[in-house]
Amino acid sequence: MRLNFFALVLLSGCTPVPQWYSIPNQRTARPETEPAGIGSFMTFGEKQAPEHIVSDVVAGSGTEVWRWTNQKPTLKFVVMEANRWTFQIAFALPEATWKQTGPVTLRVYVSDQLIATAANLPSGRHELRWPVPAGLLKANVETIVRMELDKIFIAEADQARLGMILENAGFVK
Amino acid sequence: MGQILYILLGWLMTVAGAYALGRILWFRLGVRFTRDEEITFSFLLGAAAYSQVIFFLGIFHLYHRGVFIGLPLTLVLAAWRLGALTLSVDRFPALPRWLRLSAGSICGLFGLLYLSNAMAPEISSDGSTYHLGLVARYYRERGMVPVHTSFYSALSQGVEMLFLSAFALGRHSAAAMVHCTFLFLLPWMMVNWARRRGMPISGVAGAILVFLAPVAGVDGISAYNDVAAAAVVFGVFSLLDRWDQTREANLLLAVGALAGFSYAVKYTLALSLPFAVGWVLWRERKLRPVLVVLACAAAFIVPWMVRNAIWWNNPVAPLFNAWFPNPYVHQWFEKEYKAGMARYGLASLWTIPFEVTFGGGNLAGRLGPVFLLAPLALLSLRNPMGRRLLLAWLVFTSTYFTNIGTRFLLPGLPFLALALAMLPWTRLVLATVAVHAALSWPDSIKFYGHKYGWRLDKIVWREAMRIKSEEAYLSAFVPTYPIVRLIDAQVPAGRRVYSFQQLAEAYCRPEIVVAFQSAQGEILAHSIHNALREDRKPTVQVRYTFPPRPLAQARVLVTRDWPDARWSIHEMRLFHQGAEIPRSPHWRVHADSAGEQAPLAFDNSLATRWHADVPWRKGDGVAVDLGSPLLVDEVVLEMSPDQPWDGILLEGIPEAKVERRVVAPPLGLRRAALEELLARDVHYIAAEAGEYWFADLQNRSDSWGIEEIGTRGSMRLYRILANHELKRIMK
Repeated sequence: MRLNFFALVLLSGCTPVPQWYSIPNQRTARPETEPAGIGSFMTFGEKQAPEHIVSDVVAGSGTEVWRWTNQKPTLKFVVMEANRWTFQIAFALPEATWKQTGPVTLRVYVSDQLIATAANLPSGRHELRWPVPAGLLKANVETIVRMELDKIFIAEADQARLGMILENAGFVK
Repeated sequence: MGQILYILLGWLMTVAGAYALGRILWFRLGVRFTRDEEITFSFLLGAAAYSQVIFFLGIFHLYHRGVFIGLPLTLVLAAWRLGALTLSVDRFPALPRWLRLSAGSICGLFGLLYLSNAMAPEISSDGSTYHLGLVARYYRERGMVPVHTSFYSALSQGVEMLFLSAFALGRHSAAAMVHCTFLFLLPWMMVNWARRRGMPISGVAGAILVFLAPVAGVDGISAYNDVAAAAVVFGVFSLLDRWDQTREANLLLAVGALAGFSYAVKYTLALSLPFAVGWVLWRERKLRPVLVVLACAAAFIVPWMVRNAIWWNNPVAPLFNAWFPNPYVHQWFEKEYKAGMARYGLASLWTIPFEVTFGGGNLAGRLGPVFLLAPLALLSLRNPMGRRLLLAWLVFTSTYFTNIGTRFLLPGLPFLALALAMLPWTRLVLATVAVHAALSWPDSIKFYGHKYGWRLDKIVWREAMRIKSEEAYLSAFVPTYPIVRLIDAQVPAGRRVYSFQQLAEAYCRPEIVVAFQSAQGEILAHSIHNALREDRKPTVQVRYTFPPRPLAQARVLVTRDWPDARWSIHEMRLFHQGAEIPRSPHWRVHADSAGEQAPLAFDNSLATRWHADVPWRKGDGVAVDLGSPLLVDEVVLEMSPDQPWDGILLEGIPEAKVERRVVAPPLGLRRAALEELLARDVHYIAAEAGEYWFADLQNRSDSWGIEEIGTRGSMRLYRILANHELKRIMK
């Protein structure tokens, strides 16, 4: 050990950095790890987000990071396994529309079964999570999630029906 | 109670070993001091030598508990047998009784504050992360080892060597108490110097100004090294001043040793050496004494440089990487890190005087409001001692603007404090000291300082005596302590954990790879960014097409300078008749900058990229040597959209037609990024809510291929699944 150390001291200054390097091990791409179509979660702004929309989400160009919904925005998801999921949603109720609607109640249905109710929501941004009852989701099968608002904003000018500003939603572990 | 005994044993053995070695050295040197000076200089010189001994023990992998008990006992025995432990009968004239009583009561109170906090569980930010993290690692490895995932381990670690001796027996608190010893030593040395110069009251006043400075207190009770650094440079100054008076040649041996040890404690304090050499040349224009100083200093400096030259390809790692390019610390990182340390996010550097005296929130700690009077110290220029002190202050503060944290003012602080205390208005000076004492007590600081400024809170005897649970204390004051305990419990030995932030690694065994602390960490961070950030994804293809021709080498190069950005290539591929030419093991790749990363542009992973370590520089290129000529008609660069593709040329083929295509982001980048972690033996991830990838890890765990191990507070620990564990997750 001592000899090695002193030999190193004597023989080396700074080791020269090599100029040429070998070709490294080639990696294998795994595109299957990410959904080509729909997955368990969607965030507006991501490429696959529009594919999650079933109905009642206001049309956009596909690049927005949020979208207005109508009264019953409905989305679809695919999960890889059936159990231990939580439904998560991030959305906002702007002050401007809330002034007209007042406190809002949101109900979430998974496969037509009510799993959660958030009553008397104030204006502002909300991020809510509820556990999904076991057996409600099936692996690798499209699941329909419907969100219902009890009140929506109706614009006087063009009668546009605006529910909430949806950022993301889906099933998380 | 057993833990307390071990803490005290660890501290005592280290201090005793250093002191005994110092006594032996001074005995051999034959230099006589007063009793107070003997004690302080013995510990100081002994600490330098003892640190160096521990360095070599580490090189030879001799870090064993028995060594750290046997070595100090042997040194004490040897000193005793030599008769070196007998203290001088010479003493300074006694200090006035009123001064002893008043100074003693103030310092006694603060001493209790300091001792209790030093003995309490170590909670400091840097102490619980890298200072003791590395010490713990070395001790686990039974020797000093290169830790290429932390540039901090490339810094000289003179004080950390002393920590290691204490840590071996008493763990974290024992190490902190060793630093606390320097906190008590420094003012004692200041008083001694002033007494020798016939200014005892000024000495005591200056010493109290330093001892009570809030940042000195909190730093000195932590496993940091700034107070020790201040003590060492003040030791160099004191001994030079003594040599100036007596011209005892052997004093220069100690001056050289301490000047060299300054470098071992902190690179920036290498200034001690030119300071000492300059002083010696100024007073005695001879080469021999200078050579003595240089030779002794070299004994303390060269081993660290040799270590770094061998382990880091850079004798002064992690600095000067442009002079000593190496694969461990990127030049670009060094540039950004230095820029960050020089600003700390301050809007204006003119706020520094306020920050370092009052605020303390932005620059981590405060000296105390009375140091706003620092300009008055200029009045001491009127006498020779004042000029010496201010020159020393100037020298040892000259590097401050490379890192403007308040604690980096500590090496120069003793000189400034003494210069202030030398002012002829003694009553005003003493009143200032009294105000300083009042304003430095933790309860007072709450009224004027920033609430997040680094400071002590109170006397913590219950925590020091472990009456209050260590776990509870650490969990309350070290934000990442709970997650590292989870890591310690869940991560098997030999597995590594990746994190975007420093964790309290002093409290866990698995290695933490922090994103910014090494080139390796940065490369992995880039892979993660490439998977998540749209501007980093390889959505641009630059295609060079040309009539088929045999090529033995293909090289692309940039044709212009672009000072604000770095060139990067995710993949460089060669084609013939529309089919990619399979990469052969015989191929070799090269890049003019960050050459060690060149293979990342040829690994078939779109999550990795070769990333130059310098700004776009005309003529720099990336090349692949094919071994023997192959027919090629197309070269494709896959790049991110933040690259100006029109500044790149395929060398030697001017007729090549260049086309830029935008393609869809490839799928599977998340998993590809984590496969890079797996390839580098990183099997776990620690992430905190608020980090930009946290939500994505949580929401896209399938795509990443991870499973949650547990949550502690706002942090989560994930395991990266091996490829065979991945499930088929999408239809």
